[in-house]
Amino acid sequence: MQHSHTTDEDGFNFMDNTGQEEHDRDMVGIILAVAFIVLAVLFQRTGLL
Amino acid sequence: MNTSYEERRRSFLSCLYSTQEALPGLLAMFFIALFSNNLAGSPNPLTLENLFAWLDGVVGPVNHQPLFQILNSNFVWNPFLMGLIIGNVFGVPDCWKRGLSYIHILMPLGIIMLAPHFVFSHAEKAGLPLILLAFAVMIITATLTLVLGRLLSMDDRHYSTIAGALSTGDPHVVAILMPMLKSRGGQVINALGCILLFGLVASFLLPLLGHALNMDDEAFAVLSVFGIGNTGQMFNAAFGYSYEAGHWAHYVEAVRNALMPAGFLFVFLVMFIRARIRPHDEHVHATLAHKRFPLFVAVFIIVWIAVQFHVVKEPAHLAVFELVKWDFSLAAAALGLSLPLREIAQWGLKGVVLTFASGIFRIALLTLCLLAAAHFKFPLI
Amino acid sequence: MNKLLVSGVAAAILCLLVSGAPAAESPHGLAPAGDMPFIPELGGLRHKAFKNQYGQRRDLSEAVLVRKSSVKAGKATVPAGGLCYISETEQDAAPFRRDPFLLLGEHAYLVDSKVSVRTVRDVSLKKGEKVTVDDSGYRLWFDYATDHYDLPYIQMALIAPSGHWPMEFSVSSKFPAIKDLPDRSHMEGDVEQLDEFFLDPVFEYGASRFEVKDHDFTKAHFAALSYPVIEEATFSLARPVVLDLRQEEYRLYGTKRIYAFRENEGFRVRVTDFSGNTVLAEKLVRPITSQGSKDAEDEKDAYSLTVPGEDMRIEIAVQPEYLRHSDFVPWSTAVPHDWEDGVLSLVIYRDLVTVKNGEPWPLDARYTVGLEANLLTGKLQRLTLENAAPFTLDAENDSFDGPVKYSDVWNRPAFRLVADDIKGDRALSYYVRDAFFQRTDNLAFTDKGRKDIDCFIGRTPTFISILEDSFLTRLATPKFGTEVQGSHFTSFPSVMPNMAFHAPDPTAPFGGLMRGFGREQVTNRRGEKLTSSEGLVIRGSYVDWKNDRIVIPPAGLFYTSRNARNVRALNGETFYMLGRRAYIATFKSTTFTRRNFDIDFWRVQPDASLHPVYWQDQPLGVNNKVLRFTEKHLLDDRPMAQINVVKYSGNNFGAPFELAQGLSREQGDRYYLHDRFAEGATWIEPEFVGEDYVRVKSFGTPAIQSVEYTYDKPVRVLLAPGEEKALGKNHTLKLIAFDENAGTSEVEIRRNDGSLVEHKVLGPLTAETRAFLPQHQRVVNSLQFPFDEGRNRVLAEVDVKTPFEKGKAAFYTYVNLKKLESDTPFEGDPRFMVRPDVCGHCYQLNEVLLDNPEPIILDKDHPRFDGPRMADGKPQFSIVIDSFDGEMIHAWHIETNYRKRVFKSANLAFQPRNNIDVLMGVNGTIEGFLRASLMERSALQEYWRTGTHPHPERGLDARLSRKFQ
Repeated sequence: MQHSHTTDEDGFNFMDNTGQEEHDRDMVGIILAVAFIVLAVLFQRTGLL
Repeated sequence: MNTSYEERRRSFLSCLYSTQEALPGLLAMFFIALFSNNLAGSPNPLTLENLFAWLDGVVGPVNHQPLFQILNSNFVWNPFLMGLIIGNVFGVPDCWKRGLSYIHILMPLGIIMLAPHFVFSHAEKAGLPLILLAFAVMIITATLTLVLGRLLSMDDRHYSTIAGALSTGDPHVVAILMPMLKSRGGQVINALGCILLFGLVASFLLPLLGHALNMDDEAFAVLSVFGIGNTGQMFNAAFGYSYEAGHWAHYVEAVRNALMPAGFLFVFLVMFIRARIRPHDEHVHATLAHKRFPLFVAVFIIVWIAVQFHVVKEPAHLAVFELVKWDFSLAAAALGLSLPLREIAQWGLKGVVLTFASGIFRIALLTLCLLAAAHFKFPLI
Repeated sequence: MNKLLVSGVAAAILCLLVSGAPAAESPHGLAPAGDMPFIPELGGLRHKAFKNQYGQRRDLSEAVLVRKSSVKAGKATVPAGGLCYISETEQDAAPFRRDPFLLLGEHAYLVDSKVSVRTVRDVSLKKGEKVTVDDSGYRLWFDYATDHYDLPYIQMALIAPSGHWPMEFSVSSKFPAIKDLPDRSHMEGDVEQLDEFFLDPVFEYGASRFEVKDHDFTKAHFAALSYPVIEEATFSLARPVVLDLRQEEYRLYGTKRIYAFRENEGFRVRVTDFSGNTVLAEKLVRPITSQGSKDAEDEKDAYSLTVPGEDMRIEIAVQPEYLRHSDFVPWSTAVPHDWEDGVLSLVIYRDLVTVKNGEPWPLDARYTVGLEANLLTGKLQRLTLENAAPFTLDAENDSFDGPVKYSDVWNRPAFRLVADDIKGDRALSYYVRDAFFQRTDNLAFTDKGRKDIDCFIGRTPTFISILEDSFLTRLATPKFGTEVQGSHFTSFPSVMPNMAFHAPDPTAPFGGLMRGFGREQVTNRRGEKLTSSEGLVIRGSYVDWKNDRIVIPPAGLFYTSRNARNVRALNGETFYMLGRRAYIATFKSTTFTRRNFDIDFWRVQPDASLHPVYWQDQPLGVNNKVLRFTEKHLLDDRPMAQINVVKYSGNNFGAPFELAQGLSREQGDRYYLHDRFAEGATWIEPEFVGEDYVRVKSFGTPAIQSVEYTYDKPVRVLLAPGEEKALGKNHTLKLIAFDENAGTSEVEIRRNDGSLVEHKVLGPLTAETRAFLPQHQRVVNSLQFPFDEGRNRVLAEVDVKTPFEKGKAAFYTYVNLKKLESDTPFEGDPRFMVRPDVCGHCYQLNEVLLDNPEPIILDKDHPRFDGPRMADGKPQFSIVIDSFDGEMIHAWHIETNYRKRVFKSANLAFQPRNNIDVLMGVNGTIEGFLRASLMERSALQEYWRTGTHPHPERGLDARLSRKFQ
């Protein structure tokens, strides 16, 4: 049974993380992480940091 | 209106929802983060971090260390605490929830960005014998905790979280392992509580043991770093023993730091393989939800390996770490908001028993090794 | 009652002074225990730079100091004046500039002060003493005495009651004074050693003047000491209100009207009540402009109106300068020009507090106010609050409140000293709590406790003066191991092309004494004891992370050997040469002179890094010294320049040149400085001293070309005429004749194989020539007979102490002489260059430096570098990189070879570092570097003790980059 803390009236539970949605979220996370790291390295190598 | 994600999905970016849906929750996380930690770029002085720092000043140092560091106040703990209080006192409005689900983006994001933090060459100075000892103790502790947890018939997500955090000695690992093991928020926080409690007790008792055994400063530093781990608490133990031990603890900490990924990846792999071997066992929960090897873990490993070749130098590493602080501050705020207190309590006190049993075993094992090294005059550092 | 006490104490001091007994009863001017704890930061004690009305930077800081306390039988006792709060500005604070000043944590402005000059006459003291010279506790310190031509000159300091002194000064009544400096503007290039040695009997330092009447090596008598004192200071505790007002009109200020009526000399300002019928105050006020002389005692009254009984002080500021550059920017909206026409800006200061020197603090009679002036400018530099009566702390009464502070919230004690665990004669726990209730760590530091409760908390520069006697021991005795500060890693390697004349990284670890680097006390032929010591300095090294290597730039590694003073010929003096005792035989020096050149003012720019770019240095010859213009002041609008001679090692020459032209006390100037400078053999005569550059008419300083030394102890021989003795294995010394009255002796040295024979008449050694000993090389050379070039060089010299004995002549003979020639490869190890450094006073050898002319590269394949080889062929020291990952150095150490054993230093990258700068051993050169970064190093010691990492932005690093030169 879902508690009101994490589930809204539409039944959306923000702590659930499965299936395609999980995959997509991971993807966004990975892309951002790699982008941040690459940017930081790039900024440093080009003398911006 | 209860449309499934698959129905509304247009691309992988659909997990971000619309701005209108996500903004309130994001703002909630943002403001909790902003008032919890001194984050890069934020000039806000009214933070929980600064409040604790002031209280540290008022209480005065314990063993020359700030009290709230010993109590594990850090960039994950502060926003979590604030989220927990807000969530439990005021509840969580429905309009926040889409935004709060960003926690699942922030977790892999933060974990990957942590990779530049773990550089093996930083540990090299301590010498191979110590590194091997630390590694062996870490793996043995993790294995023992996993076995003991099973014997105590605990939920496998709960005991494996404890195993990861205890063996690496870092409470942050509970958060890192959360998306890997697919543990529940309550388990994560319950595990965190167990680790902190053990660390706190051990950090005050360990110096007594050290004095009873008349350990030298370097050996005691090794004992506190690998026997307790958690930064503030191990310094409390080491400086409680002597200044010298405290300085050596700073020196040895690099080893623990460098080995940390190996520890939590070990726990994850064990649980992951176990779930593959026995997918239908009703006691197997950890990692079961992963259909295949999670991509973000693979990316983490790749970045981690790349980092060993000094791809991310200072201060790029510092910049990335500041982003990690932002990331985990936001995520911890969401985690705090998601947890009613009873859900933490629901996982019971078995975790405490497990942590103390494994923790005490580890200290005993380490002590024996250190005493043996001292006896045979084997230079560990 | 207090006054009675004070005068009683003063009388007692006077009695003791007269009787010649040491006066150590008042803590004024004295230092806390040498091993006292230092805590650089406590929230309630501020440390920050503000700017005044003219945008000039003012570095303010506060501290709490406990000194001369003692713990006995469960009680801690602090004498009157032993607990001291200090608020200090690194520059100074004067009226009419809106200079900021901290008052017990509150930001205030100095608005008025009353300054006078105190003159104390006939002060006598002995070497080593710090005698009280007045009631308020100023002390004169006789630190050191040395000689030239066997005549003494002395080094003194005037110590303020807080313990601060700006500089040591040298004076002597035995030498020609600065005014006797002849015109030497014809000199250029190298000229031979000059005879005159200058030292003035009067040290002129702006508002201060110290005149020595007579002295010898152990006693001194000063005719007069004049120094500025601040009698009264008025501070405003709130931002001033600025009223724009048109002439002949009024504006309301609260319930009062303020009128301004135009007159030729300024504006008549009238303050009335609300109705305008009752005049509360009226005065002609002149507008303030920035001339420094406006705060002179007889002038300053014309520039302000203080309304009696009302908390108001009115000044007229001249538009628009006051708005610019200020921390304080009033709510000012630009209006079309026409609207500003005729607008006058009245500045009204409120929340005024007046404090008087030596009187109780207005909010707390338990504390006495002390106001100390900057000795140069005569303006307020320090405010101290001291406990008026002694107090004790014990089990029943374990705390003592600091002075009550003014606060916008509630006036409360600014801090509290607590000693909550005293057992027997030890304080096991004591700490200071600030006005925000934050406390320090237990200041006892260890379980053993302390025998006193002395401490220093905060970052006022007084700390540096106060530690003068003890800082070396503090830094060199690693109570908590060799401290290593982690580096701040940057995206760029701070590439240094050449490190000559540069100091090492101020965060470089200091290894202190280490076996293999000698330090011992030696005695010369006259029985004078001198400390001789050697060390190693690495400076400007960096990690070149683009190429995975560590680079020590040229001149980045130097070996240094130095004695407590210069090394003199004819005295059998020794110095360390790579671990062995070397005897100096002879030296060759010249005077380097330059004329008609400019020196430009230099400041820490453009990059504010730890290794500033000194692009404005004026070289003095090649690899000898440079001139650096580092500080400037306006003394009543006369520019004053401070120029330093910087040695090859990166240290400053002891005496900076302080020059200002056209000042005259006779003509009523408040300040005086010599318009030229001469000390010892160094002189500078400027043609023009400007605010930003100085044109030099003539300048000269000694330079040393070479020295000869030997490892074999010189042997004394007595020869009768015709007698001969072996001079080493290959030579023979023969006395042909001598004349005791003329002080001459004729000698012959020959090779034993007869291939070379030379005669020389040594001397004359008479009263006239002795007057130039031991420093003048013309006379030294006349008493020495060097013979044979190459490997078998020998030398005979007259025994100047007892030249003739029982009808024989006495000589000292030197064999196996070796030569150190400036800017040439070192004979024993040509990888290193010889850079001898000269005594700027006296042409003698001051220091031997050996450094690397080529960069030294250390990487994974070459983790080891051997230092200069000793006589036995082994390197004296080696640099060993143990763990380096191409980016960070995680472990490295120094190894020394000493008595057939290898000694290793601690890990000098205990925390990761991006350079291998280091100071190893203890001698004057290393001491100089340590003193320059004393505050930062002491703070670092404290961070190291508790294992905290100072935030790179907060305090330490940011400060270092600005502070360190």
